[in-house]
Amino acid sequence: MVVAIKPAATENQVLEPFEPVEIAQDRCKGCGLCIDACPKHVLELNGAIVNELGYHPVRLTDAAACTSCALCARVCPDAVFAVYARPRKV
Amino acid sequence: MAALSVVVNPVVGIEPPARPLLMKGNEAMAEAAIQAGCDAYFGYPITPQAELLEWMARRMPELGRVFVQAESELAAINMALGAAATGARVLVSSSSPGISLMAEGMSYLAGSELPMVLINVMRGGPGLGSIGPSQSDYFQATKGHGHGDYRVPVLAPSSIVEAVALVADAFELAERYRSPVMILADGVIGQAMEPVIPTYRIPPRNVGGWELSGADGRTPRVLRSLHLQPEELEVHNRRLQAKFSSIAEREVRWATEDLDDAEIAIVAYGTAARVARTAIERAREHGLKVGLFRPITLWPFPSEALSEIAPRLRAIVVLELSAGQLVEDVRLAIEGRTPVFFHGRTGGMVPTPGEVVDVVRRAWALTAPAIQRTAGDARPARGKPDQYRLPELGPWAAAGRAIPEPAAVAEASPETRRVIYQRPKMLADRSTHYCPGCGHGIIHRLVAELLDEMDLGPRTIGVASVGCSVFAYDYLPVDFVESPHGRAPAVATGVRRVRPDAFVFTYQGDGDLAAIGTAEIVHAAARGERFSVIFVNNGIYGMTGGQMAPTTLLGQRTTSSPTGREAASAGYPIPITEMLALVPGVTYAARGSIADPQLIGRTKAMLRRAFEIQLGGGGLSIVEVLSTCPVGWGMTPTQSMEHLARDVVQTYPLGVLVDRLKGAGAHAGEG
Repeated sequence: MVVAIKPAATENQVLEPFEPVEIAQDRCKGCGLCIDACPKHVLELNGAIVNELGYHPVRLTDAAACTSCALCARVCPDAVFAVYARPRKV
Repeated sequence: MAALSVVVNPVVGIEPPARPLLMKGNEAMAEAAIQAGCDAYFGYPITPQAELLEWMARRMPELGRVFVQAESELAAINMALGAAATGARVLVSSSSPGISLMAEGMSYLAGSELPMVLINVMRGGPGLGSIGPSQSDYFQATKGHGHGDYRVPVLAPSSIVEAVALVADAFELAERYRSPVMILADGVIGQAMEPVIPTYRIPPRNVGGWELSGADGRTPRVLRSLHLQPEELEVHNRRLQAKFSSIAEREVRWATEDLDDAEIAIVAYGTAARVARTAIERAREHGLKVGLFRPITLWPFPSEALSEIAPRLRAIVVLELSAGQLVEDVRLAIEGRTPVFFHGRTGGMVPTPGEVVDVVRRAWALTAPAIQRTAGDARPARGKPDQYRLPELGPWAAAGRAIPEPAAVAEASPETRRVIYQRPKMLADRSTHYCPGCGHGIIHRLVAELLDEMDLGPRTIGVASVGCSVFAYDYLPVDFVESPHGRAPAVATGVRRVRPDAFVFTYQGDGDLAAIGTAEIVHAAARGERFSVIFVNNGIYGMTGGQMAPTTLLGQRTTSSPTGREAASAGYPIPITEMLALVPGVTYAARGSIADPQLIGRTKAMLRRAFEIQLGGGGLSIVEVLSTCPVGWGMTPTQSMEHLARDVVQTYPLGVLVDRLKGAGAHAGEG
């Protein structure tokens, strides 16, 4: 059982191991409300996976573009998101 | 018949009182409950039990205990359900028509295994009937009362002294078996005045391990009657049946008088037994050997005791203030071995001793002595009830279903991972049964966040309603009591009144609150009950398949308004929160929405304000949350949010409707 997945890596994210969002993938019902709410358009349903509830769960497409605004978490009916602040550069 | 207890009649005409009190039966029963440690009474006026309510109205507040005159018998029994769920010793009383309204609550109390004593001072029926004494509720009381496979112990006093004793016994039985117990009195017992020396008794408290008190340092408890899985419900039912068998075995009570040499037994309870007693004296003056067999527990019925004496009787005469109800149990017990005669009066009429003597004479004339009959009786020995008993599946006392403790939240690795948002601790670590995009999940989460932030979990008692959100108790790990459809505000009233320190909220849908439960919410508001109502309005009956709700928009299509709701036939959407805001008992009323993140934030602020008002001692606080039902509306989650933001708010404008403590700060209502 996958409880949380790392966001999919993209080119933009090469030097960025930080994961702003953790998704409880097996609880996601694929309703898409987070996708509507995301101002950076970096969430999408992962058509490659069917979770144990039978849905395509959401995934973060671009961790570097995520601003940790947590709007996804505020609208999620299934509380699948944990959101972390980006560490400040020293 | 090992464990049977034979009670020799403690009643009428026996002890010459040293210093008698002249008491009305209703008042004597009320005082007996008070002396037995009754914590809370809920009632509604009805003749011929009104004096009981009036006595409690005066005495309970004097003693600092709980008295509420409810808006209906429905509400009263559900207030009792709420109070009983916290382990309080609770009394409810009514008379026949009111008892019918309470049938629902009794079924839920029995299913949830909650102790409570209900007194029925029977009057003539059916329907409104008369206010005269009657015993026409015997079937109702002994055969289950409400729906479902259950029984409750039924105690029938035949004098005021005995009624006083049985009230204390009823509380003891209720707690011993975690079951409602009924006292079946009638208008004569309730209204008559007798000189009595009441013998009060405080039964030892026998509540522990299941009552709701706030899950402070222990696993949350849920008291409920819903078991959707057939396998699970059957296990529950078998456990209940094992309990009922145990009651039937141990708690049977009856009294006999003049039976040693009797050839005819009159079987009667309550007021009918008093008439029988006079008739027996007269019959014996005429040389007819007649005795009395008086059931004190109508359920469990003393079948075995009666069946043992029956073979030596030439006849049995059943006397009732009804058209013949007890007589059926007598016939079942006798199994045809002794002729059974019946005499009954109905409608509030009481048979005279002369009538009864005539019936006894006729029975004597038509029957032969028992010795001639038993010779030809080749009937096999009667089976012991044990052989019909379902196997024990576990101790019945181990009820109350525990929700697993919420899993510990995974430690975020420190430094680099400052948390912006995390699943609240007060949201159980499991996925919900709600459909994709359903607003309940969001609203549950807001409640859980507030329980976390305000540290309310350990003192919270939630009241679940009927609808999709009935399973709120599976997701919010706090103590919960489930209420019948619409009755959550009455149940919460009961909880609140006996648990002043608890944090109490109801979570209700629009069908539950604005249709079947309209009376309960309006009257909880009128009383200014200090609890918070989370009213989730998605304009539809979701759980039953998307029917029209009282809040459905005009023109909205549902499965029961397939061409769209028309005002002409289906009326207008009910602005219940605006209506409630007019009531002075409502300290706070607001309407929020979950249509977008900003509105969700505002809704959370409204809920916080509502909770603070409760904590600060304010009256009822209600937050209506406009929510979605994508499946019921036939929309995608995204479309349903757009519909909510654009269309639903036209009918239900957002905002704070009233805040009677505005500007006074969160705790200004204190004291």
